[in-house]
Amino acid sequence: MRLTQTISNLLLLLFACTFTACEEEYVLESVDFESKLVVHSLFTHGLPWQVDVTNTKFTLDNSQTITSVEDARVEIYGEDGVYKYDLYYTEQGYFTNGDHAPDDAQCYTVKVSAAGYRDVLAKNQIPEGGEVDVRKKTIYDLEGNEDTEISFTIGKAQEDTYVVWDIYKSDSINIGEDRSLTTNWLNQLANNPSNVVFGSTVNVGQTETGDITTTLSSLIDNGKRGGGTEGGPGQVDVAASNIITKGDLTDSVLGDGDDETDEGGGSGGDSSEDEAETYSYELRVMTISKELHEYYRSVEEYLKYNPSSTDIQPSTVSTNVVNGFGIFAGYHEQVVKF
Amino acid sequence: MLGRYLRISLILLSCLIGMSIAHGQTSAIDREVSVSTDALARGTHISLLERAHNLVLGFNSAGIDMSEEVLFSSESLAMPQLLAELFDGYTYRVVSSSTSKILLVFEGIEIVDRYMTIRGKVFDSVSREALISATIHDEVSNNYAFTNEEGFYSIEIRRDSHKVVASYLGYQLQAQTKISVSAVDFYLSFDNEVDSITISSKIERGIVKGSGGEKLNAQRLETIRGVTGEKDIIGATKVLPGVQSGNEGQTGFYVRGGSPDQNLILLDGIPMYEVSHTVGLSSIFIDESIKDVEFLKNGFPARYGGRLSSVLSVTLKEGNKSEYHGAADAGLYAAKFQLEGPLVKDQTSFNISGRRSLLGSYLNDVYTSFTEYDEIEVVYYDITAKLSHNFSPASKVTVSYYSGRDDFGLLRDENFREGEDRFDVRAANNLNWGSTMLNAQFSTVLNNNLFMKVSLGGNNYRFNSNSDYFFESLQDSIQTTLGYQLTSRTDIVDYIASTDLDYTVNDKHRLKFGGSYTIHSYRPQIQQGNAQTDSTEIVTGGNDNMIPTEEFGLYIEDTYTISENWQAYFGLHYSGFRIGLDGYRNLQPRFRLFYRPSKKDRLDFAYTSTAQYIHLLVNPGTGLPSDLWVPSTADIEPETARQVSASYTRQLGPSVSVKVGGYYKQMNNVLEYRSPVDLIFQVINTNPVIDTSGWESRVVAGSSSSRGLEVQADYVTEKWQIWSAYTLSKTDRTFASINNGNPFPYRYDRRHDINVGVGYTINPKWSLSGRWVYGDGAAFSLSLEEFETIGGLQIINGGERNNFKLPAFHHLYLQVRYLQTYGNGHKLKVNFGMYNSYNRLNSFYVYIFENPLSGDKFLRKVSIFPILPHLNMSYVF
Repeated sequence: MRLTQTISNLLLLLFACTFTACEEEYVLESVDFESKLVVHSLFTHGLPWQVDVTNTKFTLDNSQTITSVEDARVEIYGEDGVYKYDLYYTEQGYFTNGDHAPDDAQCYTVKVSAAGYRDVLAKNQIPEGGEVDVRKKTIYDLEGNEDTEISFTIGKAQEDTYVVWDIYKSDSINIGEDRSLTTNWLNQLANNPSNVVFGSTVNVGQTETGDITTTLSSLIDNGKRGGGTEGGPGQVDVAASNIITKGDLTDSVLGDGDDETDEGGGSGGDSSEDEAETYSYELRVMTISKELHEYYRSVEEYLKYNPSSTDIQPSTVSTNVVNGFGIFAGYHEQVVKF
Repeated sequence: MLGRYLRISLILLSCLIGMSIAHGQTSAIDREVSVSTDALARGTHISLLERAHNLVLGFNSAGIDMSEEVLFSSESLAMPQLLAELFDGYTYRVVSSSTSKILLVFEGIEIVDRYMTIRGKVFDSVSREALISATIHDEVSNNYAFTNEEGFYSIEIRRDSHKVVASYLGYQLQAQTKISVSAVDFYLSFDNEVDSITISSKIERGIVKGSGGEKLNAQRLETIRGVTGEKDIIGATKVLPGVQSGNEGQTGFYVRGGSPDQNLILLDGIPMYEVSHTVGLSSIFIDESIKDVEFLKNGFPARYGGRLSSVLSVTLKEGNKSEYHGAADAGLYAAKFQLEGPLVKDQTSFNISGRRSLLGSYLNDVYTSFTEYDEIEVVYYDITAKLSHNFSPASKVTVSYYSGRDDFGLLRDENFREGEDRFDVRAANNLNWGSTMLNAQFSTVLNNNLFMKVSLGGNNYRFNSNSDYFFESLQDSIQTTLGYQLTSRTDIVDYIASTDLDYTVNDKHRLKFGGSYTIHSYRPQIQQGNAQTDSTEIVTGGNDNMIPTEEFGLYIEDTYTISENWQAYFGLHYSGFRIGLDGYRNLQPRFRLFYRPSKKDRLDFAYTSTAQYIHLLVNPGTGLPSDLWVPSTADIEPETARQVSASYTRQLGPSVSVKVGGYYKQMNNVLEYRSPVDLIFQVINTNPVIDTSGWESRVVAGSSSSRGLEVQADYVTEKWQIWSAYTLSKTDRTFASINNGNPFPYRYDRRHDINVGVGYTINPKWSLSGRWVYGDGAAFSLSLEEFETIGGLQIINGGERNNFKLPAFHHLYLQVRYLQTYGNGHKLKVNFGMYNSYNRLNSFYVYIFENPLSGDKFLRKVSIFPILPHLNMSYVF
């Protein structure tokens, strides 16, 4: 009888064990996380250096944050690894040196070192720009309405370079003089590169030039102004711009001197060709390096497949920074008014 | 189209048969043979000649002086010259000559062939159940034959044989003497000394029986119980080296680097798509209703096709044709029964069994109190039936049926509070799946050498996964509600017709050939619904219509017994697949060579080429499974594999055997999700990317290679049964668009895998057993490094695919069994055991949990099986 009771008790005890909680916090063993430096800099001829240095953080360390590494040393080296000068941290939150700016066709190396981080290196140069030819022609549609066809050809001077472009309404603000606008634009591209650089309607090739034809009315009606090519001749419909929307072209936003990053704003939809014809435009063409192109591509891939959750494996964002992350890349800028 | 298939099939079959039979051999009469130059008796010369050159001289020895001494003129003689010298003084002529046999007729002496072919079946003497892979041995000619899956055999014996013996493990031998008829059936009696079928660890007599696969050891099966304490057939395959269990709660098994969908699991010849119940609680097979289980992981016979990695063939009992028997079993988790008996004595029998889970009746009330879930539902059932009718001893028809279903549901509420802000989540996940299978089979012995089986059947598999998520938040006095729904479905309907022929050419060659034709219809579907306050959007991926496809397979195989020590197996499997206007063809050669240098040693070499036209897409993220079975298409080519393997088996003593083997397997066109994104998180993503263009755009094809070393050691005595298996393996996958094209470890790349088991019989009533399993943890991808892009976007660095390993998986299973046998033969079995005896919390999966309010992230590990005791009682009558 006692044996039966003992067995019954044992069974009950064991059965109770089956309901132990089955979810618990889990500490990864043997994860030796090392924070790395993240270096970002897009540079072009004549504009002072602007290098952002931040760090990476361990996802599961909730006390860590991503911050600027202000005490880093940022050195610029020229061709053949010859030291040229240091950049210094400024209140704007980046490293620069007002006395120095990069030159065309010069290969630069940036070396960043900071206490507690491994030194990082990145190398790049400003690519050569190709010829840009803009043509205007008056055309008529089937109903006899007049329009202006704008076609332009963007050439490439070098293999392994890529082109992104945008059209600005040049008399609303003196865009041609504001060169930092282009840098900002390229920076912003990283947030959503697919909007401009890799629009699905852009003809994709590997070399040569991109021939783009559009009309003033389509610029206004569709609000599509920016584009990009990986080369390749042929008719290229322009892709959507992430900078200026339809409303921006015609309403007073631009006239007020507001910059083109005012996305989606404006009245929109009631613009007229007459209003558009009162402005002149400029085509701004940026020739970017292969490294920057790959960076944009990888960010695009990341945004396409990465969900907000962290418990999956995201795609990898490309980098040319050895021992770290980020992008250090030159670009060439050309502006043609029409 | 069918006509074209048939034409191609017939042509191919004819060619293959012709090629196989011709086999490049010359007639015995054209051979030049070596002979002894000693002066020996004529009879001795003939014996030496037959043994040395593997040929038979047929003649009537009456009137021939066999003791007369003969001296040959040379060590090597052409056959005509040899015969002339051997029978010098006699007048004879050669009446026939084959590759291994010469028939002579002497003047005035009648022709008598010293050999004859007998055929028949081997049955259990009580149940009249045909016995698969029973051995038939002619002690005079030393020829062996083995029964096929219908118990049929055909063997060439010497007319002067005094003894032909039939044997089957666990049964008493039966001998037939003075055989004069060509049809001989054997009825073997069960050996009452053992409670269950015993398979000795000793190397079998003969070189290889049946298809050369592993027969699951029924006695060992007693010690391999699943989580619920029932005998676990799927679990029994996992104790073999080279076979892995995947991970805690995984239902499938992984053979030599392959995925679960690469295993061909046949129930009475019909492929099944899912054979496990919820989180692997038990398999769908009810062991009391099973007659035979065969498992192959390499050197598949050519009759099997359509999967890359393994074959698990389960044959149901036909039912006792003379007596009623049955069993009833009840445990903490499920109850089941089995009943068999004659409908018409000695002619028609039935075997029916059923099982239903008992978890649902108490699980929800108790389990939810101890876990974070608010509602849990686990319900499953199986029904298996088989009807068998013998038209004659040589012909019979069987009808098999299976139906089963699982319902698994989890409901969970989570509430987060921080000051006035709150965030509430309600997640309801439901999974249900099931199969319905029906198959009719007719088999007949056409003549002494030819056996035929025709089958017609079908299977309907359905899988449905549904997730409902509802979010309600109040942040900064703004209230928002969001609802997401994701449903993935697979519906497959198969209609299968097949014919198999078994032809015993002679004592050296045994041919099998046949073909099958299958109409598959697939409906893989993902449906997504997003509801945000007043707007609802439904996005459907996949195809709402059934996708019809066709698959055919033709095969021919020859088991060639070269000599007492050598046996070779040649096979060709030719298959085709059609979907719409697209199609694929694959020729898959199979080869296997056995060599037995002594009675204690056996060497085995195998080459296998396989192709697979259907694929299982498993969501690689965490969360609810969303398995989609999809066919090959114009863009997704069939998976193919080539495998070479070799093994050496040594009998070290009467009780100990050791087997060491290795393999290399290369697989092509294996599929992975392009980005391992959990489907549900795609839905929750602020910019959902459920790909309405279909699954094809979300997967990429690549290659996989696996290599391994396998060691197995067994010790078996009357009291003890000890076995151990160790696998050292490495499996990589390479995809151009994943991991920068670099190889990465397969999710179930398990470097070390160990299985050790001990069984001890204290006395006829009590026995103990234990089993310890260890395996390296599964690989998984985890990204743990965050940084900002140049535009200020915070992202997580992807890192490498499968860059982390889950903790090692191991657990100990202990069991005590009690058996009471009553005078009328009835038995009471009580089984008490503990799964995961030391309460190891093995990982089902890990995930990063992010507090939606604070943004803090934690890694969480989910385990599903802590220590699980079970108590089963069964009554067998």
